[in-house]
Amino acid sequence: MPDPPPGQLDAQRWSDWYLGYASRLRAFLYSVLRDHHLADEALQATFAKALARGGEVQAGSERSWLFQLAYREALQIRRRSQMEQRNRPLVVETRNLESPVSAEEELSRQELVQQIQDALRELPVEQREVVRRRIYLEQTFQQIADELSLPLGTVLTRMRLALRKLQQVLKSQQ
Amino acid sequence: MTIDDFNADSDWQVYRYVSRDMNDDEAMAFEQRLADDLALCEAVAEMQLLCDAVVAVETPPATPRRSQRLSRAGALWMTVAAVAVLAVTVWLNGPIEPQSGEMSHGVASTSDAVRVLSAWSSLQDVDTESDVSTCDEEQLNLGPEQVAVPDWMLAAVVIESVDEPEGLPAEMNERQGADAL
Repeated sequence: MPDPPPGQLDAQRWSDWYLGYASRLRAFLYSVLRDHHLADEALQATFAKALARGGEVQAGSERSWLFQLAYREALQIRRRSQMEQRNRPLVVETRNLESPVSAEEELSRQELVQQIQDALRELPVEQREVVRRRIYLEQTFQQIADELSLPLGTVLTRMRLALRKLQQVLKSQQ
Repeated sequence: MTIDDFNADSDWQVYRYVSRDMNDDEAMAFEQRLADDLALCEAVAEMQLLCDAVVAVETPPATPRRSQRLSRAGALWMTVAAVAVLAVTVWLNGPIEPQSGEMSHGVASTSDAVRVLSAWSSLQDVDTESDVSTCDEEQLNLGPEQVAVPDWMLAAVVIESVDEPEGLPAEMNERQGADAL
């Protein structure tokens, strides 16, 4: 099999990078772009450039390189998207559906959901209630404090403690 | 712990960015750090994955489709429709000879009438919790003596009687008003 052109990533390494980092890169891109379609577009652009130039990246530093590349792609796409929205304000917003992911990503996601579910069960009831109201019901912390008749600081503290425990689950999965 | 103490917490800052709790200036300053802080980028990714997982856990699963069950009313309507089609078919098969002062009725053979009545009986007796197509074959072979026939069906099915000079056949007269054979 002929060697890839200089700078180009070979297929096996590209595949390894995708399987290893696509899920987290997609989550990162979505948090920056707030749109699943744009996040997927940025992810595709990132890995297209990774294929073209990833061969020059030193082994062990691909994670940092990929995140930086993804971030730049996200900013570029966001600028373009904002310009398009200014020029076409009457474009009807389509449903922001999640883009399809690979089977491996879906399996990894399902495992994470299961672990988070177990971790949520182990949280104190009062912490779990704050997490549910804030993340799932999208209530503000002030609304939660008002409805539960609690000081705002208590609500924030419960959320912070709960997040710390849930983050430990993520770290243990790595 | 004050709000400022919270805001100084790096993990809390990540959560506020992911959950859009930051104002525009704060978000812009945070994003500038993302450009060359790998740990911060990964923290953002992890927090987003965590929030997505919490939503997935809390979202109730889609209600599975219930197994198809025919209500008794639905079964009866199907039966009525099927028998009506049969009756019309039987009616159209034979010659229509209007009698003076009488309604015209189609003419059917005795065996056809028995089959219609048997089918009616079997459909009435079918367990409405199960698929109609799995009816026991024996139920389809019930004799007419075990069937309760509605009056309108009797009116739609005329037993041919070639010797009857006028009006309705004698057998029809006997059956009119009968609740059962």
